[in-house]
Amino acid sequence: MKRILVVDDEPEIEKVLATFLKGNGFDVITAGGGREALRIIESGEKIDLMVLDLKMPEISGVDVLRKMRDDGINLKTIVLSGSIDVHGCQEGLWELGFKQEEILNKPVSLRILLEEINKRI
Amino acid sequence: MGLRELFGFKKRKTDKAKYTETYSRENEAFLEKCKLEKKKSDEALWLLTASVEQLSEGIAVLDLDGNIKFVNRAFSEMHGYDSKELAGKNLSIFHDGKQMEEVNKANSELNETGEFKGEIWHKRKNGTVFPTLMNNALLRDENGRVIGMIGTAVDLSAFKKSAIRIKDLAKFPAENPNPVMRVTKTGILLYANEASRPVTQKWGSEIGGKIPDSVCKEIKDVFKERSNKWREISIDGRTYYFCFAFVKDSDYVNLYGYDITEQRKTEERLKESEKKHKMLFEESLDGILLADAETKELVYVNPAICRMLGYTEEEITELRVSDIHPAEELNAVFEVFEAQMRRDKRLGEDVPMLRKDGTVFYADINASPVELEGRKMLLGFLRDVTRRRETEEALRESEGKYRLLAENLSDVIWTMGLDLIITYISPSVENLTGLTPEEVRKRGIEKLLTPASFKTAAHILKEGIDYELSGKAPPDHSRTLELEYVRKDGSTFWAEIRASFLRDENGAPIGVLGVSRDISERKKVESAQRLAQLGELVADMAHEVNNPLMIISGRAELSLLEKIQNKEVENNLRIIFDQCDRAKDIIERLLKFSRPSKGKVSEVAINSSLDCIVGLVEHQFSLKDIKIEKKYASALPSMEVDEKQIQEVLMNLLKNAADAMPEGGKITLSTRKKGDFVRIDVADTGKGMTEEGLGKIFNPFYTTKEKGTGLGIPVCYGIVKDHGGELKYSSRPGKGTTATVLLPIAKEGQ
Repeated sequence: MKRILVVDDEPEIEKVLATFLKGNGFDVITAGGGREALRIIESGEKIDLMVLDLKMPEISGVDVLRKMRDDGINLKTIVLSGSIDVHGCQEGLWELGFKQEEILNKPVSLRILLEEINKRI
Repeated sequence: MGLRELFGFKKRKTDKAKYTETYSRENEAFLEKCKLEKKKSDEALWLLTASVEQLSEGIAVLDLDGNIKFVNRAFSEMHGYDSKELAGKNLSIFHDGKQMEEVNKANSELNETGEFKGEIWHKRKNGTVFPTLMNNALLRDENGRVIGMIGTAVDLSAFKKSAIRIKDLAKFPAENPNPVMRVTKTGILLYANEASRPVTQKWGSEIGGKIPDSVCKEIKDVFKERSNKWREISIDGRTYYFCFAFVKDSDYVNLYGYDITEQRKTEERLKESEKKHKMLFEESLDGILLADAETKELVYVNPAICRMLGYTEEEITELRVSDIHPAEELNAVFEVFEAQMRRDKRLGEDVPMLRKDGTVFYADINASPVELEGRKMLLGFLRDVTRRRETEEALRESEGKYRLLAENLSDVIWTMGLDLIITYISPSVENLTGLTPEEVRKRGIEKLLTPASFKTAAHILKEGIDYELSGKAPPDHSRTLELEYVRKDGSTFWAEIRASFLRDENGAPIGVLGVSRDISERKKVESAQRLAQLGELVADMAHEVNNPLMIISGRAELSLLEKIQNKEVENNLRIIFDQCDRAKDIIERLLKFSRPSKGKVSEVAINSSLDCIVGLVEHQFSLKDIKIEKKYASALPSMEVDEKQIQEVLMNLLKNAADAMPEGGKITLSTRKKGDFVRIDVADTGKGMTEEGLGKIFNPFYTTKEKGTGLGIPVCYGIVKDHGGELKYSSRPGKGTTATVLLPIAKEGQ
């Protein structure tokens, strides 16, 4: 069973995504923020894909991705953004080698999200 | 000491040199003497001429034919001529036929005896005649030969008048209107006529009675001196001038009274008026001076002018006109003086005056020629205008300063009347509009502003005036507004105007003073700032809204994954899901509007690019009964644009056009080259827009559509602007709307 890490500071979104993905046969673990996400990632737990929110307090999605790059951790990621334009996030993502197509804008259809996940794992 | 003297050499003169020296010395002395003599004789002649001119008797010199060689001033004036008029005229002009007998008699007497003395009637220039007492003598040269005649003339008309009066007195006493009395040596009244009654009553004397002792004294004197005595006697407010007439071989005197009450009154009045005039002269704050026209001597001055010039009255009357003006200005001063003498000019303005202490002040001199005691003079009234001059100069200076400021500022300073007519506009207007101040004035404010701005300006002016009239306006309130100006080439720009009223001395508005500043740059910056702020706001908002939207749409989608029995519920969930997508779309457009950034740029042929979009919508439009007509210009230059963005713009414009025609219609799509731009017009035959609506279409969230976002046109505008182009709309209610896109042509080699 593939394991997906869902990172979002909004519990309701976390719930929706987790419910949907579980219903579609994924093993889902969640993190309510960047710090928690990094702890899970760095613990060496097996994760197949991460669905990452960008705008979060303290440690943002971009911060998480940077830290991973710096630590040489390679994890498939789908960025889920409320608005990629916020506070230079777009520039940050370009810097990290993300392309426009790899970013999904909220509200995204769960069906489309599923398609994108299936493309990657 | 020179070398020559040191060694004992003496400078010697040749005989010839000596001779020449002596000769020239004598010569010089002789010349000097001649000059002195000439000067003396000139002076004597001048004195003589001046005296003759000053005589009150008329003097005339004639040649043998009776032609006038010389007359003095008195002679000319007595006959009513100007002194120069008579030279060369013949004696006959003073006589007419009636007097010829007398004249001939006088001439023969002159020829026989060499002298004539007697009364002759002369004719004046105006034809009236008057008696003269002539005293004529023959003129001879040094050989005794007669060469002419010299005559003096005395005007007898005044004497004649008194003679008439005397005749009057000599009327038969009873009929005489004047008092006539006869009094004995001892003071007994022998006779008194009717006119004497007021006098005798006052004296309390009757015929046969004595007259008062005070009057007797004159009678005694008459007898003692055997000649007439005169005395003034006042009775009951009337004044009589009495002649106590000596009568030869009698023991009585005759008293002839003459009522001089009126004359006295006149004299009194005269004295009074003289006093008044003198007072005016003395007390006047204006300086008054009387200068001789010929000698330029100051003949009379009043105390005011003494104060002005710093001299005493005695000192100043020793001076001439040339002493009270700065030497370097004398020519100009005399020019004015002569002009005033000729009556060509009355007021000499800003005439420089020299004080005793050498300082200068300026005066306006109002002067006219007068004649006094036979001398031509200039009577001048002086007013010290130094202060006024200083004020004027200060004013000029400050005006100059302000003008300098006005003309060098990049802001435009202007004034206009309440009738909106421009009265002044600083030259900087040319930098802003390309129009010279002259052209601007000719155009008038109506053509200087866009119609909408002109309306605003007129409205605000009216508002300002109403505010003034209400009495609630604080003094010197001003107003700041933004108006759109039209340049010479027809393009427009925005200016900020600060305007306040120009007022008359009572504070009532008489015009408007304003400063206009080009704020197109500021507007650009402002709009960029606004957009940046808006962008940030939208991005924040998008995030905040998108999260709940994600939850809503996610929950709806999750629910839809379940088997739902109730079709109604299922439908509701689907609508919720769809509407979340719509909300997302709105937010995406908003983001684009606030951050319209040009993406991938390529060379684009606009006609084919348009065809591509038309192909997408044509079928959909035809279902709504909308036809698309293409009017493309062939061989249009290509453009360097982000084709996707431009297509989005044109798609938007086509959709808007279609939405404007719910009943169907026609869209005309035309392209052509216009200068450095390609122009694309999208014209519909829909309901059109009002001016008010047109003014709002670029505002975000303004929409007339039921499901519109109000962001389509602002986004299009942002994209077109980003490409260096223009998006304009023109419309009239009922006549349809035309959207015009101007995009710059790709420059070669780029």
